[in-house]
Amino acid sequence: MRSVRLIAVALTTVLALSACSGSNDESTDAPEATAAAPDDSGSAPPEESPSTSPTQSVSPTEEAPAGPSIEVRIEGDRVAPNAEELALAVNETLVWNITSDRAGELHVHSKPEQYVEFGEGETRAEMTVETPGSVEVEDHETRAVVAILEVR
Amino acid sequence: MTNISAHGLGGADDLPIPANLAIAGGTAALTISFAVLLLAWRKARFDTPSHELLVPPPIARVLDGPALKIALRALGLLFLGFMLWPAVLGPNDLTNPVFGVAYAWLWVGLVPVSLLFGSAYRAVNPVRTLLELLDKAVGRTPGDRHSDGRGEGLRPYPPWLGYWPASLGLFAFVWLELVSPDGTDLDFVRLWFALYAAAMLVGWAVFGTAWVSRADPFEVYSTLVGHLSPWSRNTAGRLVLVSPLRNLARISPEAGLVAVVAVLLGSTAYDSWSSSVTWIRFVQSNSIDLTRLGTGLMLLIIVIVGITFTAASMATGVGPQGTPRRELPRRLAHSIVPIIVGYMIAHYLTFLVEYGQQTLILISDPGGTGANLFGTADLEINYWLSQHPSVVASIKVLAIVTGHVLGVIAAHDRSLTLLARRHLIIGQLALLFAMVGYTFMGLYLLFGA
Repeated sequence: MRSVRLIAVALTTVLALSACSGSNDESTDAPEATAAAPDDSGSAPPEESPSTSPTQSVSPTEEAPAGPSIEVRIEGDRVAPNAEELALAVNETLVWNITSDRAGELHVHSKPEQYVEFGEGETRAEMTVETPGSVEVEDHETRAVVAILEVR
Repeated sequence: MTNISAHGLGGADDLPIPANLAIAGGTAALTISFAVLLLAWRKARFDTPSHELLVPPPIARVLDGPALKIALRALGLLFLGFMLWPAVLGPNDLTNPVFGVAYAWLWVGLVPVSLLFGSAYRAVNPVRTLLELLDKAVGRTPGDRHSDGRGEGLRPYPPWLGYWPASLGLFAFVWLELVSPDGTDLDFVRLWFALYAAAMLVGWAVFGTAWVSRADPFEVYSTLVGHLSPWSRNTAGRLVLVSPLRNLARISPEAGLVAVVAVLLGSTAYDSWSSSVTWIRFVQSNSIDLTRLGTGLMLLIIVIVGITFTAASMATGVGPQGTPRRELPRRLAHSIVPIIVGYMIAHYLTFLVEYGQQTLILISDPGGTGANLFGTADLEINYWLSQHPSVVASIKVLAIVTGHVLGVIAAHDRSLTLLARRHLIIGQLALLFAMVGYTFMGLYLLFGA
């Protein structure tokens, strides 16, 4: 009956481990809002970007239901947000609002790859992703990952 | 120079797999394995030179014949010669096919090809061909095919060295691909391959081509994976077909084998982890040197895999007549190979299929001049796999589950030979738990951490 006990032990381990990974899974979602630049000494913290959650239920502004958008703030080497996660539907329009003190380019590692160019000052750009996947978006110059789009 | 890290090659990653699917897969794998192990499998099956199907002599003559051998070698050499063109004269950006050839075609592509045809890379390895030609040029008898080099003027390959050089070479390659910030810098990749060629040359000068069999990372990797193909040889050296698990048991248990499998398994885990949101955010909110951090983390994971496996396989009673304890890890290490293959399929299938196509498109224009040498420049990438995420997810779970089940069976079968009857069940416990640990790390990473 040793074998029965073995199986019991193993299955308990399985459940314990899977429970752990499950709770970890949830906790990784939590700090989404607090992802910040290395230090925010003085200059505007990037957190004030209206948390771009995919749920567009509450929009008290007069504008028609706003689609998903991401605010990017670039000051030299400092790039925000820090790997913001965003769920996006295939072919759904995503709006980039980029405020930067230099010209540059975002690399969107979608299939196929895309590039969002921006100049000094404020830039608004739209794009869609046509292939499902987990898409990293990085600032070309600093290689900082600003967003990870979960395209379904 | 371009600034995209190597795992950024080929665009988007696959979507994380739903938790319930992975848990179902993991549980199924373990349940099946335990049931098979403890109830049905009481006699070692794979450690005997039996159950072989002799390849009919006419076919064997062709497959083993000089014509095919020379043709494959020539093909390998020709391809290397061609690749020197983009490597030397091509543009230093991602339109250069060198990166796709190295990371997709060679590194990932050798897995399915070896699964089908056995040690396929050995058959085309241009470095081996060049060194064997050098052997002829200097009038040296080439080293023995599979065992020690015994040509004139050669040192015998020391048994304690075993696969250690290959584990270093494999680490160097996964470091180049996954950690180095210059993995997509042409100059650096060229330098890497130059150093690799130099290492092969120096080792060959001392040990002959026996060195290549144990030091060339691509050949060793291909040989290990090739042991999951049906192609093997009987004791007389003739070509036979056997079941993949029987073939797997024929991996020669040399020193350093545990290091090799630890590098292969650990680096795949590192690759998943390093593209997780948690890790990216952590790295970006600290001013630590990313290369140093990545190198440290990858080494740490590899060492953990190596140590847990070594400790777990040694944690058994051994009889006075039985296998010495320190021999156990390397004699069980072959059981990790199917797990590695499972993870390679799970992690790199879409990369191979889609970036592989991208490479096919790019290779028509090796010099970056707008050429269309092979007529592939205008092809478009077929993203069918990415467009069907549930298919990809199912393949991933299936690959990992299959890998683990095969691994557990292989380890159990070998344990039946190695362990005395009274140590059989308790003696395998630690190893089983190590494998449970690997499964869960793997599945956890597949969730998207």
